[in-house]
Amino acid sequence: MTSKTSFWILGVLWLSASAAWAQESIAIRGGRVITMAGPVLENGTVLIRDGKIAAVGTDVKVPVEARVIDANGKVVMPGFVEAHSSEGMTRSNETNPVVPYLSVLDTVDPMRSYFEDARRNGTTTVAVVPANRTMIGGQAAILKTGPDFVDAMILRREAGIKISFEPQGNASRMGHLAALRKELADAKKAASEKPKEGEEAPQSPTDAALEAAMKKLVQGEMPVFLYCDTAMDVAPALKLTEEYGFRPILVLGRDCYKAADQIAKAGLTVVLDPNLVFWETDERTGEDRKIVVTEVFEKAGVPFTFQVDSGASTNLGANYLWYQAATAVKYGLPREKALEALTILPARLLGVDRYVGSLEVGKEGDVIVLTGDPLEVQTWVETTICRGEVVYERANDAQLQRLLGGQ
Amino acid sequence: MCAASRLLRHGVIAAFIALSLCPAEASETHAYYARRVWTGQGSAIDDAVLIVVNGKVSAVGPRATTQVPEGATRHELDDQVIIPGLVVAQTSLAGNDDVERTLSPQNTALDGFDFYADRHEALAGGVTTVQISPGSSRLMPGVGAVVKLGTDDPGRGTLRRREGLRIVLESDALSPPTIYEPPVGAVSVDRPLEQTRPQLSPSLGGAVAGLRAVLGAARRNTAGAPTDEADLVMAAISSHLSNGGSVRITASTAAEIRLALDLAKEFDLRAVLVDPSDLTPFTSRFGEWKSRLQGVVLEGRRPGRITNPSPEQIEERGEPWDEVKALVDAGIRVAIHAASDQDLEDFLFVAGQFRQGDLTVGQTLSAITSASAEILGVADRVGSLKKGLDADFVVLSADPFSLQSHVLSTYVDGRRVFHRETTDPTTIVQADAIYTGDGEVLGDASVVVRGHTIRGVGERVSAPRGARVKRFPGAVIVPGFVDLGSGLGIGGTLGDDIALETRLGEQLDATDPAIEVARQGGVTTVLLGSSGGATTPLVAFKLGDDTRVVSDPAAIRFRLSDNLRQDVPNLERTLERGKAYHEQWLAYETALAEWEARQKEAKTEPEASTEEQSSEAETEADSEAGGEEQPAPEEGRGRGRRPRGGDTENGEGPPQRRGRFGGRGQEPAPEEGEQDEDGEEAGSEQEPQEEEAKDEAPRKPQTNAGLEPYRLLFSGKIPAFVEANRSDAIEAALELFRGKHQLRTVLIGVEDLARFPDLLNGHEVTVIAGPSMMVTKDRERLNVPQHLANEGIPFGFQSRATTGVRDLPSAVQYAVSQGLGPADALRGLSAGGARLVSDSPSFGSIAVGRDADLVVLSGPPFELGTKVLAVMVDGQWVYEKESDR
Amino acid sequence: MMKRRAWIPCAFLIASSLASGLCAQDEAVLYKAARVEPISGPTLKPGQVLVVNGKIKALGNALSVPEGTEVVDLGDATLMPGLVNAYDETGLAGGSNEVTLEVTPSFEASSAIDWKSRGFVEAAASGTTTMAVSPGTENVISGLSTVVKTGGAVDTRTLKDHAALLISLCSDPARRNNSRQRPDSIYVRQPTNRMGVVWILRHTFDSVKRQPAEADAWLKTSLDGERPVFAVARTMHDLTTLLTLSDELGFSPIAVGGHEADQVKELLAAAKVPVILEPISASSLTGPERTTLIWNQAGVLHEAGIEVALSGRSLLEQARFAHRFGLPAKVALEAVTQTPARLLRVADRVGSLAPGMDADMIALDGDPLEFTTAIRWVMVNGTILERQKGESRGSYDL
Repeated sequence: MTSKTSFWILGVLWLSASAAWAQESIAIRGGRVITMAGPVLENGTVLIRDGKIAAVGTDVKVPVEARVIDANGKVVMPGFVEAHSSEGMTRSNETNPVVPYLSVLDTVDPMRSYFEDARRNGTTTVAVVPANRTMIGGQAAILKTGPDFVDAMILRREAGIKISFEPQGNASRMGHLAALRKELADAKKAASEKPKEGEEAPQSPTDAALEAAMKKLVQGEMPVFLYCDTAMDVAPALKLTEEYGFRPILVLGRDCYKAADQIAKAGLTVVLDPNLVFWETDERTGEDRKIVVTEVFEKAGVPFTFQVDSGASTNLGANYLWYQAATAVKYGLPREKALEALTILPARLLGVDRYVGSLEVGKEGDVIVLTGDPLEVQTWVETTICRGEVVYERANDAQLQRLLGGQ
Repeated sequence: MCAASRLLRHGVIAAFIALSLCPAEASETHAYYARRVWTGQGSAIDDAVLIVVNGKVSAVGPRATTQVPEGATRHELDDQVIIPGLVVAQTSLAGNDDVERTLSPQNTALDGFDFYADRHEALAGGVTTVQISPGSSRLMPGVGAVVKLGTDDPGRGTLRRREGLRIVLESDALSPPTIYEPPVGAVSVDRPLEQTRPQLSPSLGGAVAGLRAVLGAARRNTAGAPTDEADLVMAAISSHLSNGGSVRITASTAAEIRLALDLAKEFDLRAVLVDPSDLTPFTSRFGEWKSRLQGVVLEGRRPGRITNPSPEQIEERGEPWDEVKALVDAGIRVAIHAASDQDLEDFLFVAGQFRQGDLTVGQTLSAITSASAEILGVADRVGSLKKGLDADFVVLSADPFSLQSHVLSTYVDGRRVFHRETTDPTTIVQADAIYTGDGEVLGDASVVVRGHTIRGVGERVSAPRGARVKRFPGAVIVPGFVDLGSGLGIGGTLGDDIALETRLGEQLDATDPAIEVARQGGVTTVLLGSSGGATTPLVAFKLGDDTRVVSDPAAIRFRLSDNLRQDVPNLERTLERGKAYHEQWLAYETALAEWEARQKEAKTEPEASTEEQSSEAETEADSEAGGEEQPAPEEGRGRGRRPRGGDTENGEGPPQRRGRFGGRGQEPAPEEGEQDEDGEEAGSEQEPQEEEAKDEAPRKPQTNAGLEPYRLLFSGKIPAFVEANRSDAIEAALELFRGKHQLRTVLIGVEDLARFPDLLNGHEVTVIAGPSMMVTKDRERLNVPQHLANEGIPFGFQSRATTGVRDLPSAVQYAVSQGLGPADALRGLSAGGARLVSDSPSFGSIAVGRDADLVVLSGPPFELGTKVLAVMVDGQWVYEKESDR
Repeated sequence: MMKRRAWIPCAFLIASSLASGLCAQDEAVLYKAARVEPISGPTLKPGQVLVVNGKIKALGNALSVPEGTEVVDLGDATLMPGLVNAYDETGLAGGSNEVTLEVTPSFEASSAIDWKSRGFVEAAASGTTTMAVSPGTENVISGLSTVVKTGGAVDTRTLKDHAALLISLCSDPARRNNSRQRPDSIYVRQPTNRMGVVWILRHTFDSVKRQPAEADAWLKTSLDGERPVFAVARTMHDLTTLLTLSDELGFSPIAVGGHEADQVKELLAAAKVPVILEPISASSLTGPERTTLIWNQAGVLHEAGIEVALSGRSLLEQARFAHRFGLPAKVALEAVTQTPARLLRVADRVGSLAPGMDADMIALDGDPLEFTTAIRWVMVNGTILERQKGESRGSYDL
């Protein structure tokens, strides 16, 4: 770290200490700007005002009052977007099979290390989605990863409903799907019937909520996160999508690589399992095979994005979104595609590309400053800005310093 | 609002339409030529071609008349047979997990089916389409489906999402928990505890009563009355029935069957009757069943799991195919399914058993193809081979249900999804007739060849499953021919005077072009020796690609020229010398044998008594030595010494000798080993030196390569070929070789037979005829082989040629045209000839254990029109006439 | 992709500048790459490696080889030695722990190796060509590890038997013996706590010193330094205990685990005890035995002047993260090649590229320490290992 930058960082420290800079303007100047919308700007400037991107370019005029972050020799990027995560919650599964009216917002815990790690690794937007063990789980929400108040983090409340095709308990697959179909059929029916006067059946509040939520689901007002545990879940998922006109977001288990071609035909974008590379043994031939999930989907022509595995004790690095992208690149995914898979692609998949995913005027001020080119071994996130607010600075990341052996 | 996602949705729908249309592969045309194609409709087309375009059948018909499109890839399956991919009318490949409820019609088997699972076993059995059933141990476990195997594309693989609402009346399905207890999960306002409900009673009557109620209600619903959609069960049933869905009722006993049909009648269901075992009472009703039933699905099992049925079981339980004929005749569609999914691997066999029910091959086949496809309502996609249907087919090694016919490869949508590599080295050669060479003729038989020997001969020989079958329709198989005197194999002509010790076997040259030519005539074994010279060796070898030596020397050839006064005494001396040498060895061997016997005894004795023992042994030894060894050595050694002087190969050690005698049993080499062994033994005992001094092993005589062959000759292991033409020469030969020495004697030439036909009578000799079969002396013309045949004198043939060897058979053919019996001719050319050389020849006849030397003829041997089609030497095809096809 | 041969006439060679008497029937292949990392020497750009009969014959920027030598041009690839894993339990058939005894110094990993184990296949695929298969950690003295190659014909795969003696200074031996769990079990034996573990060690080592005659040969020779003693010690106090013991009983150990080594780095440095780190975990803040982790363990130890080797399933990934967290690039590469090889005392065969060494190499698409760099192929004893079926989509269709 050059003395120059350190000087700047000291400056920043002093500034941020001096006052609360909630909605000030920030100018990130002199960096190599990867906008993810158009060409890369050498020595470009990103100006954020009132939490939104006010200007991006090489000849942006920096207002005097703006707080300036010198990105000289650094790389400036839009904050990363994670399209599916159940990490931000305290309890991510629901025992009852049909609870579309629940919202993750009630269980999101901003204090969880997940959010801190996210900020530290450049993720600024995340879809927090109920986990995979509930048939019709609650409603997802799209959150910023900072600051520390849930209300301040919300980008979209009703961001989608989770459906899991993985049978729970001792239920047979047939039973599971039969039950699921019935729920959907009933909901559709209820939705089509217009409430007649007179017999406004006195419903319990939850019933009402349930009906409302299911209605949204079957009328395609909300995206649906479809979790496929194994490849054989993909077919019914696509079928239901077709029947009910879902806005599908496929969340795949690692075994689903077998169904890559079908997904390709359906023209969907998917969220891959955190476990991108694994081995399996052909039980007949006994031959060991290394499965590279990204390679399979890339070959099949399926666009995909990533999710992290925070508990990844076994496969080192799977808890970093950028590392997942790096792995994909290692196995043949073009670098640009990998960067898209971190930013604009998931934004589109979630339907929030109007707000995040690239550095364009009018979008939210989610910017990360990297010490070097993304995906490189020595590249660190130096500063993370969320809606125009600095939510992470490596310089004062005490924990990181401890972990890196500083006292 | 969000254009992107809406776009996506349309994308999805579009994609689904695409799925169903999507062809198997990019535009491709294949033509499969097979011996026979069974269309599945009961008929079969011989020598047919199946044309597949983009995974669909575009045409099937006789090779001659069928138009094959341009640029089609040709696949010659020559002897193989094509049948449609098998359609199994019921499996549990969707898993068999049952739910609590007796009635769970909302379950669809398709949900339980994994398209990505490995279906290798089923495909290996030729199964390409299956009905998948929901669970089997509940009254109404759910709705089945029909899927194709061998594709991992659910879109294309699903033929029917919903097929057959399943009803199981069998007793084991009637024991659900009498009270349905819903899973006790988390309870809350919005999720109250489901109340427990009584289930249908486990009695058959109760069950059926329940069914009546449910089905009745469902029917009413479909009639348009206000429905109670809330009830999942009712909803599922009525929607299924109203969509004209069929119902498959599993009913085994007569009672169950009756109830099944009543239900079908009462609610006029499109019913399929499954697993009826006790059909006999209903035979008279089959007529009306025809209109009522979609079809009947019978259960076959793979034998091997043998059970012991109780008397009453034996009483009532007949075979599943008892009434199958009656059903088929009544015009009822019959399909066969396998009792367990493991049996799919042998599904053809499982179904084949139904031929015991007097079904024709065609009928049986359609029960697992077209008929079963019709019952499942997918006959428009699979089940038979005709224009427009999916190209799902199976290639068999022989006609379906014929013994030892098995699946070679399986195709789905024109894509090969299974192929059995035939790595088995066994070959089965089939023809209309086999002439074994020993006078026997087998009709419509085959020869099993493995390695270089024959492993089986006969009409229905046993052979491994993977064995390659080579059919020669209308052809005849005879043993490879034997030429008892030829000049080929050394890539040139053999010098005249070949010393007896020469190992011709070591001089053979496999690249000699003559070999190639010779075997085209069907000759597979020849004896090689020089035509001139006084006493010369002959080697017998195979005309395979590697000239394998059968025996070397195989015979010694003597010659009595017309100058008898000189030749006879010479020959006498030679023979004497040989005999002496032979006897010397003989003596040594017997002595040795006894000595060893003694050693053994000595060994077995307890240590204490060794001394007396050995001393006894010693005296014994002396006496015997005295008795035996004295005379033999006198002259034996005396004579033996003379050649030694000149003998260069004097000092050669045992290993070489071992090599030379090619393990022909009587070689002296091993004794050496024995000796040292005994040495050690002695060492291990009390007084070794004494021991050795006492009883010494007999001395081994000097080996004389030039005389070695005589040991074989005099021990009768090889014959003496004696060439003599003039009558007096012949007589001299007989006198010398038979009269004096009783050797195995084979005469060559014997021209004077023409003048004195009964020259050989009363003598124990054999004769080699040829090159010319007809000898003429003083205007007397004689067909030698014919004459010998009638005199009962064994004979063989020789060509004395190199490339000319090929024409030996035609020379014999000429003899045949002149009166020699074809049977005798063949014997002389094969087994008979071989026997002149050895008592138990490894070649010359077609029998288990013999060398696989076969000649395939287009017709009976020696017919003028008969051609050589193929020749096999030591199990290798060395010549094949390129077929006209 | 298999090794092909190049027939080289002797005469030719003598003439050629490379006077290293190649002979006819030698199998010689020259590999050209944009970059060669010999580890033992300076980086070669571009670099060439001449492999003859499974050994490295020569390397340099530009080698002159006789006519007809097969030349493989790897373009922009980087060549480096196959990776060496000094500590792994992979490939032991049927469990790696002895549950009826606490001291089993003569147990040999070599007698239980399952050569077909997927562990080897995976290791090879991730660039590890040499691996020390070690007995488990649940015995106080658990036995002898064996150094093997991860690929090649079985008979050629053992590189060094009885390579190191494994001892445990951690809670593992005590874990299973907790008599409160199964008082009546045959598994109940000493030790049931750390003190027990240490006492048994001290006792055993002591007795070796006192009556060498009766001592277990393997144990004795190990203590005499015939082979290294690998001591599994993770927590700070285990490490200190290790130092005390080695000091008392006079043997020079190698610490395995070392999750808290940073807290005693001065001591370790002073005692010159090398450390083989167990796999880095970047996802949690505490390690096994509730050790407090730091990510840059390797870097910290290196700075303190301690010899560090990395271990784990994917060594390359370990090295990359170690580097990211602060270990200098050069050292990071050494820590997965030369250093472990040296600790196992097989550095004369593997761990670096130099004439006479085994031709164990990996070819990479770029900088070895970049996350985005893939392994192109792995070579063991001059033979490029068959690429695993299924590494490309190809083998999934029927």
